[in-house]
Formats: sequence, C-alpha cells, structure tokens
Amino acid sequence: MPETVIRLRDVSKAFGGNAAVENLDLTVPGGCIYGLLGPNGAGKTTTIRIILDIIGPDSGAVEVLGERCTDETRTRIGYLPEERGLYQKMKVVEHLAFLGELKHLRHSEAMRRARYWLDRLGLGDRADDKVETLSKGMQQKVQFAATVMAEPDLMILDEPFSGLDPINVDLFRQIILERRNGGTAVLFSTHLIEDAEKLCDRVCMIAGARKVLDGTVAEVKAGTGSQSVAIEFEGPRGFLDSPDLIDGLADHGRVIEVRLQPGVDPQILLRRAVEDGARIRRFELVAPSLRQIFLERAGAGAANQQDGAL
Amino acid sequence: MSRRAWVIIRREYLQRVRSRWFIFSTLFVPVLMVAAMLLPAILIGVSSEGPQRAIAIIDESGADLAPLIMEALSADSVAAERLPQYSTAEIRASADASGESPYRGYLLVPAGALEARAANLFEAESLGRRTRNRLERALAGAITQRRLEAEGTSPELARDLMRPARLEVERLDGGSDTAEEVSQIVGFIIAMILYMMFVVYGQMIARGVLEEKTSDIVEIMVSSVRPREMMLGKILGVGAVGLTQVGIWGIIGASLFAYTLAGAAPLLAEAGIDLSGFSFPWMLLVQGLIYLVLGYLLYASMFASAGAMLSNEHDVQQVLMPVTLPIIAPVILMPVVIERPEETWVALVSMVPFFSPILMVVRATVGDVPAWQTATAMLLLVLSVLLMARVAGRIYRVGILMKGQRPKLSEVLRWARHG
Repeated sequence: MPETVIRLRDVSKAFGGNAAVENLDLTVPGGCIYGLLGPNGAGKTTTIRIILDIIGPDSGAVEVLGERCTDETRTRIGYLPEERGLYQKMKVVEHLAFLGELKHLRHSEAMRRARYWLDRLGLGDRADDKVETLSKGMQQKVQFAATVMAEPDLMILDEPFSGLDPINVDLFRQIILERRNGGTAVLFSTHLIEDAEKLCDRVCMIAGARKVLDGTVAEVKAGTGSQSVAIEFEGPRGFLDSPDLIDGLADHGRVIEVRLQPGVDPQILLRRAVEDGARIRRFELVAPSLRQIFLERAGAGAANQQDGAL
Repeated sequence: MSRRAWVIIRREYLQRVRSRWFIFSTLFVPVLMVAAMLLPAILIGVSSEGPQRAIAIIDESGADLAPLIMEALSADSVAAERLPQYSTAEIRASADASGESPYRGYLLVPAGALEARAANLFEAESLGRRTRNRLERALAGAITQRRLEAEGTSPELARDLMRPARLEVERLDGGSDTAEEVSQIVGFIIAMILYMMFVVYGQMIARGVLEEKTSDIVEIMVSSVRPREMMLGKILGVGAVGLTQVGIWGIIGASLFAYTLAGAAPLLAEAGIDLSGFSFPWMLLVQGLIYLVLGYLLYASMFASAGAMLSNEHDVQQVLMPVTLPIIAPVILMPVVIERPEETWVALVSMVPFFSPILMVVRATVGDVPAWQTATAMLLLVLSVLLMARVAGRIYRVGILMKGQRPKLSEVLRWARHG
C-alpha cells in the first residue's frame, strides 16, 4: 500500500466556462477513510470523475495508486457512483458477477464472490431474481457489493448512505471499516456532515469549486482556534447579542451553538445569560461541530467564487 | 481486444439471445416468409374449388372447326365443351336468367368464319388476356388448317403444317434461366434481410445505449470500462446476436429449400426444367454476408452515437429518423436498380457507402457487376466504417455522461471533432 493513494495537484476543470473544480490540491493517504465534503454542486462528483479518469482535467496533475490512472489501476478501484443504476432485466447474481468480471475477476470466482456478498447483505434468497424485482434499497446494496467484491485497494463512495435505513447504514459502515482495517483506502463523498464526522479519519471540504478545508477531523476542529458552547435555555435571548464575546452562532433549534471570540472565558457569557434572566438548562463546552465549520466555510468559499467571477 | 470488452460482449449476447423477443422473432420470421410464399397457392386452391367451368364452343361455320379448336385448347389445359345450336339470344338469356351461367364463356364461330377469320366471344365472367390469347390461337390454327384442306392439301399434311414450332434454347453466356431466377429470389431475400437487420439491430443498439443512460448504469460502467470498449462491446455483442439469428434462418431456409427441391425434382423434370446445371448462388451469399457485417458496423456506430445523444424516450423517434433514412433510401431505389442496372448513375449510387450494402447485392442479382466496382464499393465501405467508428466513439464518449436536454447539432459536431 503506497503512502499516498490519491494526489491531485493544481487541478482545474470547467464546463462551458463554469469552473467545476478550481486549483484543487488533494492528498489522500493510504489506509484511512477520507471524507470529501461539500454542498450540492460544489464539484465533488467532478473531482471523483477526474480521479477515475472518466473525464480529463483542463490542467493539473492526477496520480492514483502511485501513477497516472490507467486501465490497470482502474481495476483496483471500486466506485459507487451517486447516480446508480443496474440492468433491470438481469438476474441479480449474474449482474453482480458481471460487474466483478469487469474488474478482472474470473467468471467462476466472480459468481462465488457475488453469492457471498449477497448472503452477507441479506439478499441471498434474491440472487436468482431479476434486478427489477428488488426495491431501491436492495439495488443499492447490490451496487455496494459490486464496489467491495473485487477487494479494491481504493474505494470511492459517492453518497453511499443516501436513502438507506439506519440498519443498513450501520451494515455499510461496518463493511467500510472492515475494508479500511484491511488496508483499503476509502474516499467518501457526502453532503451529510454527521456521517462524515462519525466515520472519517480525514476530511476535505469543497465549496464553490475550491477547497476550503483539509486535514484530520481533529485538526480541522482545532484549526478554528476558538471554543464553542452549546446552550439550551428558556427566557430572553438578549445575551446572544454580544459581539464582544460571540464570534458566530448556529441555531440548531432547541440547542444553540455559540462560537466565542478568541480568548474569551465562557464563564463571562454564562454570567451575562443568568443576569439577563435566561433559565439555563444546559451550558456545555463543545468542540465545534463539522456542520458549523462547514456552514461558515462553505459560505466563505461561495463568496470567494463570486469574487473570482467578478 | 481487452478482457473487459469480451465481458461486455458476452453479457450483451447472452442477455439478448435468451430473451423471449429473440426466440419469438427467430421463429416467427421464417413462418411469416413461408406463409407469404404459400398464401397465393392456398388462395388459388380455395378459389378453384370444384371443377373449373368450361367454355362453350358453338360451331355454326359448317367447316367443322370445333374439334380442332377443342384439341388446341385441351393442349393448353383450357376446359371446353361443344354445344349444339345455340343462338345469341339464348346465350344472353342463359347468362342473364340464372345470374350464374353454366359456362364461363361462349365462343360462337359463325357461318363464314373461314373467310372472315373471326368469331364472337361472350364472357359470363372475365376470361382474362391469357385465355383470350389461347382462344385466338386455337381459332386461327383451326381456320388455317381447314383452309389448307380446302385448297387441296391432305388433312395429314395440313395438320402437320399447323404443328407449333419448338425452340431449342442454348445460352451462350453460360447462364441458366433457373439459376437466374433462383439468384434473383435469393438476392431479394438477402437484401430484405440486410434491411431488416440494419433497422432492427441498429435501433436495438440505440435503445440499449439509452437504457444504460436513463438507468444510470453508465455511471458504474465508466469506472471500469472505457466508453470506447463499452460501445465496441455493445456493437459486437448485439451484432453476434444478429448473426446468430441470420444463421438460424439460413439453416431453416436451406432445409426447407432442399426439402422442396427433392420433392419437386420429378415434377420439374416432367415439366422439362433441367436442374442438372443448377447451383446455389454461393458467391451472392458470401457477398451478402460481407455486406451484412460491414453495413451493420457502419449503421451500428451511427445508432450508438445517436443513442448517446438521447436522454429520454420522447426524443427517440426524432433522433433515430435521420439515422434510419440512409437505410430506407436504397430500398426505395431498389426497383430502379433492378430495372436499369446498366445506367451509370445507378452504378455510382450503388457504390455510395450507406447504400452499397443493399444496392450492390441487388445489382449482383440482376446482372454482372464489374469486379472493380465491387472492390471500390467494399473499400469505400471499410473506410467509412473506420471513420464512422472514430467519430461515433467521440460523440458516444461525451454523450453517455450527458443529462437532460438533447444536445444541439452544433454541440454534437463539436464532440465529433474534439471528443
């Protein structure tokens, strides 16, 4: 397993004058789960397609598994696209084996593994049915099986959990972790920050075609350089209007996440709240959630993009 | 070819060969063809149920023409019956009164027919040109024979003089009428099969590509396979299905042909048709196969790129129409080519790549095609296949990942140039 499984250097791609990816540097180390985060339309799918050499970048260098992506390296990558489909008229097991064979598995071996993975994902009794008889979630499992069955060195999963029930999300997560522990690198794209926060070792955030954040989850959180407080209370909200103490806040509804100005003691904010007459139910020092960082940075990225356009 | 392309070819082939559509169409088309050939015979059999009504001969010439006329008619297997005295009024009445006359027609040979060389024919139903010609010939022969006798020729000599002459035909160009007729039928069948294959299998490819796009299967495929391999795999896989179907039809056709030929040989020999010089037009068949493969590759690439431009069912007809036109054009031109194969412009048009597969086969059935023309047509066809595959591959590569609006023509042309 190479140290670095994916390295993009200064990669740009535009479609008809609109930048989809701009000057992107991206390094995915081996053996970890790497989250590619960003709002819809940020350029995640384009980035993945460039990595897979489905489309070529306008400029920049791409290295995958230690070399330029070739037909040979592509057989070592398992890809679960966001827009996924299957041939509806094929038998499930034959379809899965077909996808395995495209990754250079022999026919008999592909059939064996197809049955194994269908069993593992609870679809063993549907193996000989036609794909069209499966529910959407079941088809998603078949596609997921297709990405893992050839035991790739790199798995690229584009929104793998969308539309899945919690039980199956957990099953997928288990398998992803199992693969990671076996040495597979996982690039995992999502717009659901909570998924990424729980699963990823490292994250990279893209917004408006540019990278806005990169690093381990801990680094990203520490990198904000300030403390956050989660507050749950009843009563007047006046104390929240204290620009001298509060840098920004995220209203989650019942809970309000407040980011303090650098160097501010949380105790001062608590005192001000109590003096204001707020009944505090919870006042907790928290690391900033990725969601909050994401919301701030995505906004900033979008703003940069507009500047660039002007 | 890469292993992945083989995997795709195998999938396309097995999925389609095992489909209900394939089994049905493979069996249905020969049944349809046999039915089309047998139907006229069956219809004739139905209409001639019961003995054919005869033609009445009423001889008032006084020269005893009736026996001679009837003899001549029976040689042509036209049923005739002699009636004694029967007036014109009676003839009219018999047809009018019953509505259903006992005879198909009445040949009234009047007095003085020998000199006038004329008779009257009353038709209860239309006898048709053929029967009228036969009656005319029989009448003319009978009159001439009796006239010769009247001039003193012995009846034996008169009879002998009136014997029809026979032509001993020998074709110095080595051709044989039977062989030419067979080769025309075979050529026509080959041309129709080519047409059908191009249209049916071409559309199958376009729809297959569309299905891959609308079901988003391409998204998974492109991560393992190059678009070029996907297109190649689809074209070759579907093509193999087509060849299988044609092969099965060939076997069915050959068995039927051999079976009928064996059964019909004595009858044909009796009718004086010599089969010894007959051979199946193998060269035509080989040519047909080559044109089938090359033409298919040309059209399949076009249909594949057309399919890649589609994003939904609505646009299917609009996009496929222009692609289908060059297949229909030679079928429309076919009668002209059969009628005037010698014209220069016919030769030129038949060598145009999109038309040549069907038109060259048709030309080969109606006359000799100079070897250089066959060679030119094939060379042009091969070159077009290579060019089309390149261009189509570029359009396909961009097209399969496109979503939404159907691309404008200018966009497609840009893809074709730059990919």
